[in-house]
Amino acid sequence: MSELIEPLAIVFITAAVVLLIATRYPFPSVPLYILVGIGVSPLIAPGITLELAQLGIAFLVFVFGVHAEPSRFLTVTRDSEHVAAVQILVVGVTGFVIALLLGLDQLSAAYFATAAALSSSLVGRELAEGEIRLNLIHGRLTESIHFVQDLFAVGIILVLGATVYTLDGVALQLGYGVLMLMVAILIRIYLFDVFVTLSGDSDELIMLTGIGLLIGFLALAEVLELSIVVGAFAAGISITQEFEYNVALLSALESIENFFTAIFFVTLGSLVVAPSTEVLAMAVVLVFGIVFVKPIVTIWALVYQGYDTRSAALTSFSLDQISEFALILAISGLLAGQISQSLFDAILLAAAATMITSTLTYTYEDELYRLIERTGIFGATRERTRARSALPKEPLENHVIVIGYGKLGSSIVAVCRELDKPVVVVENDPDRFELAREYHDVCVFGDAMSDVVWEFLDAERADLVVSTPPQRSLSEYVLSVETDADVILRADDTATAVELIDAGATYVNVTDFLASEQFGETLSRLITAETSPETLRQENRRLLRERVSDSGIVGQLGPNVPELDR
Amino acid sequence: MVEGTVTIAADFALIILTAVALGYLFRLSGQPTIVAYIFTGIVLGPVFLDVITEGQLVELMAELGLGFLLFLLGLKLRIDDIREILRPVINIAVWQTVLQTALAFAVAYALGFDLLQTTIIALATVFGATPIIVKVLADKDELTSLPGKIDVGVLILQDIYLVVLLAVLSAESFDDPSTIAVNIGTIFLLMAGIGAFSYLAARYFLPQLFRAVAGDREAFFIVGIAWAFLFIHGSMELNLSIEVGAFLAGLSLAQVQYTSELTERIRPLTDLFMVVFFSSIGLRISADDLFAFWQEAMIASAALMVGNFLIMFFLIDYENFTPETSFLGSLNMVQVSEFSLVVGALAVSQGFIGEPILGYLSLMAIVTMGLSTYLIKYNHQLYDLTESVWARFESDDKQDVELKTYADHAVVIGVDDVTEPTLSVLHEKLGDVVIVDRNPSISDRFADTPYDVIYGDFKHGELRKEAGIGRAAVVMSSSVQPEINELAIRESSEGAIVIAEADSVEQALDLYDEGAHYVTLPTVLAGLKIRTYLTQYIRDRPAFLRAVEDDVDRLRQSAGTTRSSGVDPRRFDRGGESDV
Repeated sequence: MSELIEPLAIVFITAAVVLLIATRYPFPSVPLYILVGIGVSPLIAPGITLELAQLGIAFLVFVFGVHAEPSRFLTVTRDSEHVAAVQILVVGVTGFVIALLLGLDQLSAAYFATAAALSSSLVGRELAEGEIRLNLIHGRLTESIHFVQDLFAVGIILVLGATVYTLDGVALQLGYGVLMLMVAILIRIYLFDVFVTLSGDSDELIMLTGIGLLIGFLALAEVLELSIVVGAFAAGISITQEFEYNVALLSALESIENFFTAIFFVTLGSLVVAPSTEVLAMAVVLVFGIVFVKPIVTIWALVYQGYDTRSAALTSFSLDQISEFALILAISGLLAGQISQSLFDAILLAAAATMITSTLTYTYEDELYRLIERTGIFGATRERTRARSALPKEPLENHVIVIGYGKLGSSIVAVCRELDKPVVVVENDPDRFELAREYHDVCVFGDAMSDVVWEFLDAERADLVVSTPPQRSLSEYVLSVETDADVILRADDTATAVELIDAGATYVNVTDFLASEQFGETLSRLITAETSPETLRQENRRLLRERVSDSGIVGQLGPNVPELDR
Repeated sequence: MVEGTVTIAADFALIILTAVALGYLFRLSGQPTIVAYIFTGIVLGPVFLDVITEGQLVELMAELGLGFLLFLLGLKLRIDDIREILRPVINIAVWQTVLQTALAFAVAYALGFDLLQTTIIALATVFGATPIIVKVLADKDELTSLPGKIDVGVLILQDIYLVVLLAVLSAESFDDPSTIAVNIGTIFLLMAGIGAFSYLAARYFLPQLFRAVAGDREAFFIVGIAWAFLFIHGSMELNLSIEVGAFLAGLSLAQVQYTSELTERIRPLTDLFMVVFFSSIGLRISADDLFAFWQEAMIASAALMVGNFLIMFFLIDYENFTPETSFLGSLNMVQVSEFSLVVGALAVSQGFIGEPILGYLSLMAIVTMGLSTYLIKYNHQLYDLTESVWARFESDDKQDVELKTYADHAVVIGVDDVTEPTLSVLHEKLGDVVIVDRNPSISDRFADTPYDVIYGDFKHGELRKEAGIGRAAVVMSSSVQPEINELAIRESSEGAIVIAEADSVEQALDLYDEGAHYVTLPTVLAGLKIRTYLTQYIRDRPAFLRAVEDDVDRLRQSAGTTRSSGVDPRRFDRGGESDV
């Protein structure tokens, strides 16, 4: 009987109990796993699960690599690239200096600085899931900054993993790393399709191929004396997501990743020894830097790039924690004898702590934002808003306030203009704002959930407020604004809509609800139709095309739409 | 503290890479992957290359492979699935076990094995190979046909027998009859204890437990794994085999409504561990051992394949099914199962038999599995060829049971405000409506309705088969994810009507091109409606307010009928609909 079964049983049963208790709270799983590890360390022999934990690292990075489409490297918005770079540079250098002041040697200081600079995409993306899905500006920023940071992390691991820190040694390391990536890209382009074709539709075989590629690259990394992180990343790159049965592969990998990363994070926690004052001091410094310095740097960099303070602040609250890549680095450093046990402990403790504080800053983001705004350290928001917005010469009256200039927002603005109704647009995405300004005289740049922005909207004299994002907190905010204007909101489901109407909204637009009425008729017609399915398909397709070309607005019309004037 | 850098175990790497390579080779020749995995062990082990020394990682994964295999087996064991034919299936399974054990015993004894060896061989070779039968039949979409159901039913009962056998064989001492009796008694008592615990858990505890975590993908999965480990570890502590624990863990979960999703989440992990497990069996055998009894193995394979077929045929025929059903049902079951290796390996470690017998069992398993894959694949052709032979079994008394399978039904992927109002229309026009949804509150909400709900992600192939998507008349998706809609289009039959949802006109046109018959565009429709309202508002505000009032009433009605979940709906959103 394997001696590993008992420790694994302890790991999973404890983790399950803790996760179950935590379902009431919004905490992400990673810090919980680390805490479980710290808790169970007396029960399991140190390092016994280490071999399995390595597979956790491998799968973690591998899955990141699989999801990282190379085409994205080229199209990442320049802003997040800059912000990520500035953040890593400023926080990293500060961290490095502080670490030296704390008496660490240069190599250890580099580990310390990395831990301070990199943020956890696992935690950040889990927290900001809703915003990313709603495609809100700070959700988008969070996602892309994390992505760029993770790429940096792989590079840093490549360099720090070098066994010899001479210029030649690092250059060789980088050379091998690039070589592996090239092999991966060649496999991606030429070989992977062949595998997919050969596997037929066997989910099992395609999953095994994925794992085989991972293992192959890990072996190659080992031969070249590179970190397994680099191997795992290259393996991820070698897999393209664009094939028919990709969903099977992706969900299979998710399961295996969940299994091994749980072991990995618990193992990390279990390696922490009883903290000394030295450890605690270092951990406190790290936490302070991450919770206070990092958000300030991020906000400053984003505001400098032209984002409004609120979006910048909210983005920074999904970036204020230690990255899982820093943890991978820490354990490699510990095993290779490059960093001391106490630094490792400090990084681990700080990681668990910041992942939890990050949940808190995210939960209270609006309160924290108000606090930041009041300090005025990023310049007076009022002045900035005034400077960037296109304001009317005289106060507006009987106007329509449109929040959001997406597809829906822009078409609403168009209707108002056709009917000569004065309109003001509120938008906080710089790109969309530019678009709005090109066509309209009055546009306010800023977040509709910021009090300052409303000072420019003359809400008390407005006829109507139309809010287009289906974001509940925004809807509630709009309802709280003092105005006699009618309010049209948007919601994702009918229950929320009814609540908003009860709270004072004139009308709430529920996309699915509007579609459903007409959908039922179409369905009955389809089922009972005498014509063959293929004819129906052709017919519906033609209808859609016609409507699109009739209206001249691609993205606005569908087939069988209710007539505009009905 | 472990010193050194982070590395991956060489033995594990070799096993995986070889298994992938052989997997492709066997796949191309139409062979099941299990045979490839056993070959992996044989190639890497003493028989050919002899390059592997089993490390800790491989040892653990092999053990977990077996454990999780049985966990999964337990998870899939739903008596409901075979309730309609339960009585004939029990008759068939019991007699089949008895007769096949006797046959295997007679063959082995005649081939000159001693009594103990013969007993082990007879016990080991009675099982049908579940993974092969289920896999090949599922690929042909015959799993829910009558012969398929009979086979699955027999296999389920065999699995229960297997678990008992494993428990008994792993007993600590077999020195004299009285200790054997005491041991077996203890084992049954312990198993009954665990069984009672798992029954009570399934009844009173598990549903709430899984409802609490069903909203969180990761927690859901970890809790499922922890449940398996709880039983595995528990039975280890009680000196039972871990397989027994794992099986009972799965069995208790099988009765909970969220199992279908859990099964699909655990399967990839099991697949990975199974590779290591079956390879490790091959690894244990040396060349001498593998071929020690090769002639006997060939003779026994031939004898058992023919014998098992005849036994099954007469048993099914005796239950008054048609000859075709009897033929297909028995042709599927002619192979020796991978469990013969499990039983054999256990018997080796207990000292009942030597390695050469394990080699003999492996050879039989490989040969019969390899051959039977082709037999199952071409079962209908074989029947047509030999129909005249079976015609004599034709009689008026014999007829097949009508099974409830989904056909010409509706599959609804995800219930939302768009699709929900149409459910009654679908039910009225088509009959069966199967909903696949990964929001756990949906299955609670529709528990007392005529609609069947499968809890899980449509991305899992097995769930799509369970919903019978290939036989559906209407497939309706409320997802705007292109990959989901593409799956729906690809897997539905030629004549089916596929209705999908899209986010943009471009996406809708793509879906039409791929074969969707109707694509609804909620965001576009909503946008048009808002434009209409706005025009009205600006021109004639009172008229707008009246129009809106009607709408609000309908909203209230709809909200009143469709709401009930305590789960945060945002977590299950289909994503991407907001960029409007």
